[in-house]
Order: sequence, then structure tokens, then C-alpha cells
Amino acid sequence: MDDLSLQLERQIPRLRRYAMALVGDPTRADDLVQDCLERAWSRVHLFRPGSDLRAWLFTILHNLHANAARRYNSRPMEVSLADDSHVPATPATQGHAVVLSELRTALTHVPDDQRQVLLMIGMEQMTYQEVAAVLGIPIGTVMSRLHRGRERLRELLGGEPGGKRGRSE
Amino acid sequence: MTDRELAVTQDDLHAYVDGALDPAARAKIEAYLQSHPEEAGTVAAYERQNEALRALGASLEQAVDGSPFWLRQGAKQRHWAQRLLWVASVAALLLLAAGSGWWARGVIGPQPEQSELYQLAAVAYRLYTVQQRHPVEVWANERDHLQKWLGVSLNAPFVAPELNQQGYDLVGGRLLSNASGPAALLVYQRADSRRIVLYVCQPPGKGQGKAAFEAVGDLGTFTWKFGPLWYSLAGNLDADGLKRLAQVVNQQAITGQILSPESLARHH
Repeated sequence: MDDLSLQLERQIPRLRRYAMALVGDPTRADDLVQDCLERAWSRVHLFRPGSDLRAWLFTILHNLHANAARRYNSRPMEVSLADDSHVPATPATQGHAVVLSELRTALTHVPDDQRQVLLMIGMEQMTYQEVAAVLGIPIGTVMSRLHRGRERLRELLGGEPGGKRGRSE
Repeated sequence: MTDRELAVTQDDLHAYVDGALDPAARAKIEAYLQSHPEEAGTVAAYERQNEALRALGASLEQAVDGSPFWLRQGAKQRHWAQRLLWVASVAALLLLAAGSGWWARGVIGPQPEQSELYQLAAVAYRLYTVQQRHPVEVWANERDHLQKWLGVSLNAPFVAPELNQQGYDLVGGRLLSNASGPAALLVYQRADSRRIVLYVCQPPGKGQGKAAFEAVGDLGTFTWKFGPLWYSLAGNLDADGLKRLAQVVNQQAITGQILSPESLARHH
């Protein structure tokens, strides 16, 4: 039980940063995480000890996010992700910081379903199987969202757009 | 092109970038990229994206790590849209109230539940922390019994938080009641005999449960909601001091309540 408690506590910063990258606005992100933890609280009897706590929390978070997105009528993420006022300056070099702020702006222009996959794989380093389980979609769908997301991001970040490439050559 | 090269797919390239291939498949892709500069460029671009996303993750994690989580909302201004909604609902209530005469009887005020709660905590503080012989009904040496008893009474998983690291020892607790039902009171004491109380109850009514600090004379209260319960801390502390304690209480409410065997048992 102590292990589980520690695991859960360890997940909170991860959930927060993921939510922040996903929805952009810090207040909305923390609302989402708070709702997620409250939902987890009310459904603790559904959690099987020994199973993956992070995946369970991410699943809950995505369900809540999907509901919220429907309520907001699929409004694209708020522009404040592009507004750096909420995020403290990174102690990295200026060049690095510029890249990050460009990345955050670019992410706002990636469709929500592709952004989720990009973030879970690129930022959270989940496996394709884990992402498929969290989102409740087949791995093939994970792969196609990943591909479209990466191509979109590449375009936005000034790289030459690929996309001409087929499934094989 | 050889047959081996033909077998390289777009999915393989992504799997290569994400380190999802076994060594043999990895070697195959590396050989393929040697002779396919365009694909090698694509792979390099994807790898840069992953690096940038990891850097963004580290930067965001650093950003969220330093900011208190649970209690930030009350201190922050809400979105204008939410505020507008709130104003609209208050306006609607006032119209209703005017129509039915409630207003004249003074039933409606801004956020009555929240203000009621911090006052209840303040009253409990003044009443019980000065008691020398009977500050509590059940003392801390019967902690398990205390938690079980208060949890059953509140009909919710309940853990008496440990505040030792913050310098406060649990004295004990008692069962109280308010207009909405049962309430639990825990009393904590420092080495210098200064006391604080934690007042816990079911939701008094509809309310957002936004975290809020209120000063009642020299007494500070900090009130918030988590899960099915409302919490209010009262003591001779400033807003920051109470917030820090509230943060600790909440961490334990999360980890202790969610994962305690008692809570699991009670849910069945």
C-alpha cells in the first residue's frame, strides 16, 4: 500500500505537466487533474492493485478531457499555450527556450487526437501498447495518429513537409 | 532495392525513432537509412521532435513542481467566463429571491455554504482548543478507532492526517454536527502548546468548494473541498502557513484515502 501511495504521489507532477501540454491553459490543466484525482478517488474500488496506476490515471484524465472537449464544442486549445506568461523561464540557454516556446505554439495547431499521441509517446515515453490501452483504440490508429501528428509538427516547425511517403516503398 | 528493403514501412521508422524495435530490426533499419537519405532526414526530424518534447516535459514539470497544486485555484482568479457564469447565476438567484420574498428574509447571500463552514471551524477552534481536560472525545492513542468512528459517521473514507513533520501532534478528535449533518473535529498541538483544528464535514449544500482563506479576528481559517468532504483548518497562522498545512492534509487525503484498505473495504 505504501508503494502504491508513493506511486500515486509521484504521478501527480506527471499528470499536471501532461495536462498542461495537452490543454495549454494552466488553470484548465489543473482543473482537469483535480477532476481526474477526484474521479479516481470515487472509483478506487475499480482499481486493481498491481495494475498500472499511471495508465489508469491517464485513462480517467482522457475520458474527462474528451467530455470537456465535447462541452467546449471541440474548441481548439486556448491560445494561452502560446503565451509564455504562465510558464517560468527555463534555466536553459536562450536558444533552447526559443525552441520550446516554438514547440508549444506549434502544438496548439496539432489536432487534439494527434497531440495526445505525440505527447504520450514523445514526452511521457509510453509504449504504443500503453497509448492504445489508455485511449481505447487499436495500435494501428495510434500509429496513424502518430504519423500525422509528427508530419504536422514537422511542417509547423519549419521542416520540409513529408507525407508523400506511403506505408512502404 | 532488395526485398529486405521493401519490407521497411512507415510504422517501422516510427518504431525505430521510439526505440520500440528489437536489435535485429533496429540493425535492418539502420542499414536501410544508410542508403535512403530522404528517410534518414525524416527519422532525424522525428528524433529531434522527441528530444524537444522531452525537454518541454522537463520544463513543464519544473514549472508545476514549484507551484502548490490543490489550493492554487482559490487563490487565483477564475476565468472570466466562469466569473461571468457565477455573476449570471447570482443574478438569477436574486431575481428568484426578489420574486419569492427570500431576499427580504435574508436567506440569500454570496456563497453562504463557504462562509458558514469557516465560521463553524472558527467556533469549534475557540470552543475546544482552550479545553484542558476535554479538548477531544477520543484521544490520539486510539487513532484507529478514531478514524473508523469518524469515517463511519461521515460516511466517507477518513484518515486523520499526520502533521508531525510540520510540528503538530494529533491530540485527538470528536464528532460534531452542523445543519447539514455530521462533522469531525481533529485537534493538533505543537510543542509550545499552540493548537490548530481541522474541521471536516459533508458538503453543506451546493457549492464550488473553492479553496479560500478567511481571517476571523486573530484567527485564520483555510477552507477547501476534496472528494466527498469539505475541510477547514483553523489556527493562529497566516494564509501561507495554513495553506502549507492544508497541502499536507490534502496529500494524505489523496494517498491515504484513495489507497487505504479501509476505503477499499468500505466501497464494497
